[in-house]
Amino acid sequence: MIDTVTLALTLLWGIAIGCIYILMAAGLNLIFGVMKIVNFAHGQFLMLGAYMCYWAWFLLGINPYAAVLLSMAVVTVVGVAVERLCFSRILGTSKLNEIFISLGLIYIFDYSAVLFWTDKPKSIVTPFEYSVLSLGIVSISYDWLISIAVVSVILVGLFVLLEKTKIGRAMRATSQDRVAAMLMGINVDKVYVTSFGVGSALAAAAGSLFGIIFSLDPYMGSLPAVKAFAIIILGGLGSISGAIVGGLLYGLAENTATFFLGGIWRHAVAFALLIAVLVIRPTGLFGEGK
Amino acid sequence: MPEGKSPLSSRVLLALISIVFVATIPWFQINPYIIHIIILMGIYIIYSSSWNLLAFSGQASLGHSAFLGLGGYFSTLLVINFGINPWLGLVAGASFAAVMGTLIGLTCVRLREWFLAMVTFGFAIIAETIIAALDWITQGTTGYATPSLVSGRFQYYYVVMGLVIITILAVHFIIRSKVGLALSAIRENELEAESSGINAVKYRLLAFTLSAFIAGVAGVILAHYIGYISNEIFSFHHSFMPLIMSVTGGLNTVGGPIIGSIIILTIWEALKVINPIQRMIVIGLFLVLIVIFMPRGVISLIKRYFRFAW
Repeated sequence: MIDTVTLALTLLWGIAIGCIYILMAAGLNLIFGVMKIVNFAHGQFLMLGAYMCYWAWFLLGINPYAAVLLSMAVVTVVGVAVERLCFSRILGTSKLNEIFISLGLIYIFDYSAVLFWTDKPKSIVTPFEYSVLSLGIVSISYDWLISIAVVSVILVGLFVLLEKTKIGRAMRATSQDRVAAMLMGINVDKVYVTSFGVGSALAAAAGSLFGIIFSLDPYMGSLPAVKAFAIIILGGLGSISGAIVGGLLYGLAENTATFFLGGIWRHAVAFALLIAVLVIRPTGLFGEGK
Repeated sequence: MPEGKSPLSSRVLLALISIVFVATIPWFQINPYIIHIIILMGIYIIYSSSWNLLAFSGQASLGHSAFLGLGGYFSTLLVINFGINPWLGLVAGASFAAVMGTLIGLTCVRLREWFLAMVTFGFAIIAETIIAALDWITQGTTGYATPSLVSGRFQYYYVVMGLVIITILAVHFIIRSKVGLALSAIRENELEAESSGINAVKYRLLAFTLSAFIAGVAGVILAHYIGYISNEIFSFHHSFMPLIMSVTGGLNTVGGPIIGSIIILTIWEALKVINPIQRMIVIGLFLVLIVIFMPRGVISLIKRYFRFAW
């Protein structure tokens, strides 16, 4: 027997978590589009962002939603450092090297987080923690609604950055044709750093919201990163709107499947979805949907 | 691999000397703990050689623990529930891993680097979930004690070393064979390989089967040797270790996984003074540095500075 209230809540949860996936997917997509690399350690930026938000809230007493901005700033700096120190050095070598470097980064970030914050889950308490908006039979936590709003604002900002600014145009040009962009006088290195920084910032925002809605632990990043990966395959390369639709679909599908199968299947379901997507579109990002 | 022409080249001599050296180690009265570490090194050499064989075809798996775990579970369950001979269990476990490897390979062989990495990673998680869900036979997340394969540590030592030698020889001959040639052609340029008549999908699948079989052997031995098995065997740490070891030693070489396993486990043991979390960070840093500064692995150093050995 299916409980309609629980199902409705499951769908709402799907949308809320889908929003977080959208931010991850948009960041990964941006980095992939421009640099043609996949940062498997993208989830670690999410984790770092969540802990930065936690610190800003816990140590400095900043409102968690304001702390999102602070966390984005810090993680951007980390992202730029990672790009300069690691990824820029292996651009153009074997693609496997990206995977290896990312793995090394995952170890470094995850276990450094364990050292700093221990592996006990932590949570961020917002002023709205216990207030809910009642809509007939279901009630939604304000935190989810605010998170959805924050994601919308960030995505609008991303659109403005990509469509209206000079560096955004340079990023789009580089993602279409790197050599032509270079010939047009675009500093491709600068574009790379910017994309990586923006991508990291998006992951940090995703992490902060994730920490606000759920809880934080050092290993929280890996699965959202994998899911974001599935979403960009689902949504198509370089398409932010594809990432939005894909993210929502993925959040809904995952939560509905978990609802029917039970919690221990959550991760397996996420990967089964990814594998299903890849079997249907084996070329993934390089498919016709460009 | 460097080219050794005559059968008694210095490389063969080196191999013989190492075998004799390794075989005599237990005769000296040394700390049993060191024997334990050497056995673990042996198991990891088998395991990372299997990973390296798959990587030789250009496919880097992030979910090799699926084969390690499935091999270990299948064989020990057969031994416990049906009382079959553990040696038969070894073959059965490895064959089961090979079958699963082929099935997983079917979804993977058409995928490019990143997608393959993600999908293999996913299969390890799915395998872990299924094993945990089948708790009426697998005891779920708690696991169970496994019967012993041979009676004592020294017996294990020689069994593992024997399997290491068989594995290394097998990988060596696979890589030198027509199959190995096809695999490296596919790795270097799949389009060119296909245009010269190599069925890339078929060979990639074959690489999956062979690699899963060898990983299954490692899994069975590990399960018997450690004395218990739980679904922790599917942890991502177990998936990443053979990768880290192969990359450290040198990708696409027979010697890489050997050197890599020895180096990584030695580092791990040498760093016993700091806690495991800090050791993980060191391993991560080490991997990043190797990829950036020594992409061909430690074996490239040895090749450069110890030419006489080849």
